[in-house]
Amino acid sequence: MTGNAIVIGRGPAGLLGASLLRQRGYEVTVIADGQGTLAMWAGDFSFIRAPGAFETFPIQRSLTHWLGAFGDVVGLFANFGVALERFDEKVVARTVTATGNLRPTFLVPSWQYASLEPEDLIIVGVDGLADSIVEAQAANYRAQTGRQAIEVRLARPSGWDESWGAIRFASYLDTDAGLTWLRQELIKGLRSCPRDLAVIVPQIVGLERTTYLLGRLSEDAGRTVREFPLLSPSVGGVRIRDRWEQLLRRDGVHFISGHVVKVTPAATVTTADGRSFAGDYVLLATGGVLGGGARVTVDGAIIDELVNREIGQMHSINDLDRVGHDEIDCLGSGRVLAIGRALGGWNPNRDHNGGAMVVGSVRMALGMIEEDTRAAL
Amino acid sequence: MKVVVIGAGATGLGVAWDLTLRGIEVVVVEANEIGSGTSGRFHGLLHSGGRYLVTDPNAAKECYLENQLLRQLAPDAVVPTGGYFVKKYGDDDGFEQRWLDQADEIEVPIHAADLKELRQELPMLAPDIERAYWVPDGVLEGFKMLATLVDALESRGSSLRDHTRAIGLRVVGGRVTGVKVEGRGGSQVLDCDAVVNTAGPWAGLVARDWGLDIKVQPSYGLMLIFANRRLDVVVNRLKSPSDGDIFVPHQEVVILGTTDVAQPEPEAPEPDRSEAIRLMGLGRELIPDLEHWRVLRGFNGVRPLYEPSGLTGDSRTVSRDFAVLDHGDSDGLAGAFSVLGGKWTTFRLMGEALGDQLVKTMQVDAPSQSRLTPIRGKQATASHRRDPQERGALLCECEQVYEADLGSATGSQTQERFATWFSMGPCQGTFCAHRVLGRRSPASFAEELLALRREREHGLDVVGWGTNARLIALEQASATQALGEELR
Repeated sequence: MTGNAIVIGRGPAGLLGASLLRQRGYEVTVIADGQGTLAMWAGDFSFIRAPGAFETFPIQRSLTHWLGAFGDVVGLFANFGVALERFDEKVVARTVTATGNLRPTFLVPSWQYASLEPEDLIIVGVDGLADSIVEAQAANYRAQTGRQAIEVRLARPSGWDESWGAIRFASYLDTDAGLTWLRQELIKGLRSCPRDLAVIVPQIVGLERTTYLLGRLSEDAGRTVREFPLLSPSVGGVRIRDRWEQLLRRDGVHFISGHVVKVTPAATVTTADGRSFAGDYVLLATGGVLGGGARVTVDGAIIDELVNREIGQMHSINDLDRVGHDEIDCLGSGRVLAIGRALGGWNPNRDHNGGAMVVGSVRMALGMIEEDTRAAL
Repeated sequence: MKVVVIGAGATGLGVAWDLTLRGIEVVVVEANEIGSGTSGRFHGLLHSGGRYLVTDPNAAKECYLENQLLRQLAPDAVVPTGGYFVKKYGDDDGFEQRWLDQADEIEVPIHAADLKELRQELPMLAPDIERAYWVPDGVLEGFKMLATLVDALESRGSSLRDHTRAIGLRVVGGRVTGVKVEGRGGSQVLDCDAVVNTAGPWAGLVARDWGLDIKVQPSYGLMLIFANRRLDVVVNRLKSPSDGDIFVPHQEVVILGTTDVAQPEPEAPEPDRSEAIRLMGLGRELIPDLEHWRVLRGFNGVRPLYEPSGLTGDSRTVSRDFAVLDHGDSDGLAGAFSVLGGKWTTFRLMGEALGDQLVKTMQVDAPSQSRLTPIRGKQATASHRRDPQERGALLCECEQVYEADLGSATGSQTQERFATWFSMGPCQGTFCAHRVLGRRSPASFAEELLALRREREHGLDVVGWGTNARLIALEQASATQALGEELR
């Protein structure tokens, strides 16, 4: 046993931190007060390697180091059954959004569509699904890429009612009735479409048996069928969250529901209902302003109330994306470490470096903990 | 007889309605969209008159009488919430006495509230309330009223042309015979027997096109919108009308008003963060916990106050009353009229007053009917009680907008927003904007989406604190990362 660690937050940085600590033999407790941000995340990791992009990274590492770090993530995800596809590091891959834009990405779950060059596509729309706006999506895709986009529309399933969102569609598709509906509709819709184009469908193809379903559909269609991600709640993020947390629980990580109100430099944690926890280390994965770990006051100060520190000022709304702690060792005691968006300087909205932010800051924090532990021995 | 009315705000549509009921055909020309000026940017208060009892008794009396009338004539657009005037310890006792005397004099029915009951009804109020009075305030649903007026006057032979700008007059022998317009449908001259300038804060500019000099005194006011209807009644401060002293429950939100800053231009300026912070401070005098209320956005509206003697620089001393000018009398331009100043609450009365003057000048025997005629058109109000299977997908969770609620694609984005209220709720369009715009206009939705985000952002920026700052961060992350838009 190497020690106790408390992770605050169950977004991607929190779960990655919990996984890596547990792999290294730490007792890990995750404390979170909400659903975490995984349900708002498509599930792919962005990591821009264009010239100059690295200069905006607060953590400077060689490309080899980064590739090794992402390789570890691929291995970790494989442990809970999500295959991540990694693209050639020299070229930026892009995924297609629900509005037909192209977004850069790096590591992509095998269910999600991405490609190195824009290509002609068949885009599937699903009637009764709010985020499915296939006509607009295809028009925008054509305008953005100059490529063809053929629209196919599927009629809603017979059991549909107006309360159906993406999650409800996905659990329907986990049933045999759902699969039958999708296969029939898709075959019908693709009948008059060219055979050599990839097909993209909204991200609703099951929560449990996605890989199987996409395999069947690709077989039926005679073409590769992949999903494009939708807005929150993101089915891809939910799939990952559920599998990941299940694995962590099985490996002995404790999950505690609570709203943390105080973290001290000595790595003690207090929740709003008065419970307190003591660890050797605390990983602060509280998500910045977006995740709720930092609060903006009426006069514009940005405060991390958990550690009682002012971490910046909001001058314009773009400041909200990048403000966080200056240092991973945010209280200077070496025991409270800010990871993910809790660490400032990244701007995933502008720089598409959110994957690097999560992977890089967690690895850096782990390195600091290991060094500290060795020094103590 | 045919009349052109310039401006489709409350004043213009009130005038058009009154004239239409007198059997006069009216064409309303609007440079932008219905209610896109002052009428779409107010706190929603249907005045009881309480606010002006001491400072502007004439306006107070008119407000009260119109308040009572509109409850009968347009019950769908008026919510009879009632309201309170609350006096804190230290607020001027003399003002309170004059206020009570004036209420008696003008016959605005008020009564003292039991403080214990008040505290039960409004537990968020500051602890140092000395006395409170109930008044017949209400809430005026501005866009519903405007839409109903357009429907009502169109069903009686008059018409509206939006995105059409009046650029001048055709005058023959000192008499107006037409109005030159340009915009949607090209340039042309609309034949008419009279023209009415109801352009609100732009009235001075319209008059200048006519070669006349009219002194309007625009003054802008900042208002803050809070999510959740935490109050069911209007709350006013019992003191001389001032900044940040009124809370109005409006549909699902509460609006705090307002500031009052004289300005030369008719356009509403961008909201300013330091003003928002000041308004919060004033609001906290009545509701101490206001900082923890979820703020949604701030917006500026411009009042078209009228000052016959020219700019005073102090807009709160300018009357909230209105004036009808007959430019045939005063300027030798026969058939040209202006309606200036006034309140949303008195729009019908302003229409009646203009109508009386116009028929008198034009020597037509056509008495006003607007006092007696319910404001009602042909269209039934949009039904939200369709068969669930027929409503389609739920597009906007905040305001419960379904696919079937979307109007025809010919209406503008703004009209759609005010018809369905999409993107106006707590998420401010984060989750619904692409769904609605993508369905409405697939070919051009990318630009429309960007325009909507920009427009929404203006009012978000100034109130970027607390939960709202978190929403902004979510909105930006969703737009750039989930939907792949460029960061603004």
